[in-house]
Amino acid sequence: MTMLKPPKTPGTHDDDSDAERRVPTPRTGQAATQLPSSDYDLTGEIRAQQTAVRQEITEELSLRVRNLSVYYGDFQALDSIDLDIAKGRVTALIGPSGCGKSTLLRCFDRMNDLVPSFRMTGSIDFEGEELVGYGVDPVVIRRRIGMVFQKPNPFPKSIFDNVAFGPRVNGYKGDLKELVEQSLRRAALWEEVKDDLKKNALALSGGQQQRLCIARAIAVSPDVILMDEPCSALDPVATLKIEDLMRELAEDYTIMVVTHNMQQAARVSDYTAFLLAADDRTGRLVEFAPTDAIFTNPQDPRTEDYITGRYG
Amino acid sequence: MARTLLEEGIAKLHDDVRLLHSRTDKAITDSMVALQRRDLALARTVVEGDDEINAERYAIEERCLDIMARQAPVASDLREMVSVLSIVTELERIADHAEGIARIALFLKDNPIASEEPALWEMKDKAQGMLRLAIAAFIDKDEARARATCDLDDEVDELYTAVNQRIMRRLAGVPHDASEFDAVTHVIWCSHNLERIADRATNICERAIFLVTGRLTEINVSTY
Repeated sequence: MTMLKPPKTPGTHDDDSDAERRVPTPRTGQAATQLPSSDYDLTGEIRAQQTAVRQEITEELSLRVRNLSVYYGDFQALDSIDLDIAKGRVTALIGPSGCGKSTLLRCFDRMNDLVPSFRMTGSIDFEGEELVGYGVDPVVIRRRIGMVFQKPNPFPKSIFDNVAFGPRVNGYKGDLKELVEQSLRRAALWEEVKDDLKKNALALSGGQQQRLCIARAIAVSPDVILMDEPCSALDPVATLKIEDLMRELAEDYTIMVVTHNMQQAARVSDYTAFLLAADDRTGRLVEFAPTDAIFTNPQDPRTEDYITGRYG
Repeated sequence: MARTLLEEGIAKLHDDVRLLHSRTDKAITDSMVALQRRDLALARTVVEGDDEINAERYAIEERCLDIMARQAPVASDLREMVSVLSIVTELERIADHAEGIARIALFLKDNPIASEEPALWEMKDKAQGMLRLAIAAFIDKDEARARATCDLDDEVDELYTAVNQRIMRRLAGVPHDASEFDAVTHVIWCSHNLERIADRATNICERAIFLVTGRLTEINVSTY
């Protein structure tokens, strides 16, 4: 498997950068000296809960989330998320159930738009384009930002047709056979299925089905692949295959993965974001940093409690 | 969600480290008493006891590996494991230094040269005290105490220089005498062992600081 790429963040462990790291970054739209006024009157503990330890990324970004809040009707699911997603890296979103990880992930390919009461404010900059707003065509976004779900969900069609589906819909003019082969190779499935591409995809094993879904996602050459618990329905061997694949895919794609498996986040990701919902059930970013920093020396005690298994 | 097994494992490791330290501490005292009183039987006990300390160190390492393999510790738990692995190595090497002093006692037999050098005893008290403070700083996760302990290393270094200069003067003007030459060398080795004990105590302090802050830094670069 490919080696983990070290995040290109210089001076992560320098004493100089430490002071910066502990100081919460002011959110966009507020002057650096002005903290949200509501934070001032509350106790220190509550104030601490509202500011994330967010480490600046110095490398090229794919996605830049600023002040993102998500509502389902009256219920606020996410509050003022600021997050940078580095290009060509794996970023893991971790946190307990109900912290808004999947909601956040679904903001990127506008999957939440299908929920009638859904509303989001703030901004998501995707390589210079704004993703939040009515002027954006979700179909175009979903070609550039693909999604792999928790349960493998191949179409009840042949292996070939599954992979060819997206390119056909998009009017692909090139050699479809070659594209299917390339995608299956990229998803580390080609060798197992090359002799039987007409076989129904549902006849594949769970791990193979998930790799087929990854092949289907990359067949339309996206820039970003979102993965929502991609291994939780798979056995350990299939899980490790998908993890290897994620590392390889990170050479060409930006990957975001939601996972409950913290060891998986530690193994595959370059950056980790920890989200947590307080008593109001609204998810907030608690800490964001290079994965090695999160798993060896987290700055927020809530991150420490969660990753060491002492949460709750 | 509690991590009972992991927390019990770490508590047990702390007990193990304390026990290994108390054995090492006793080896330091016994070796110096043997040297002072020219008690060869006591010196032999220290030499023979070193195997037990070595075995205990490996036993602690295996318990660390067991916890790492089965409990997958991360963050401060992981730093705890790494620190214990490093500290038991330091303790085992410190016990080797004590064994070295005991062997010097066996070499010197009834030669009083070492007991005529009270600064050696002072070095022993300071180095042994630093070690006790270092272990306490680690167990209590006390960064300030760890840093303060490192500062004491300079005092041991000064004594080391003073002892060596004084003892070397004994050779000036003395006609060539192989036994006197050997005795002086042995005293220098003894002070060297004590000086190394203090250095290793600062290494343990570095681990205590690492445990608290997550930062690996060299606190005190010894000049020897």
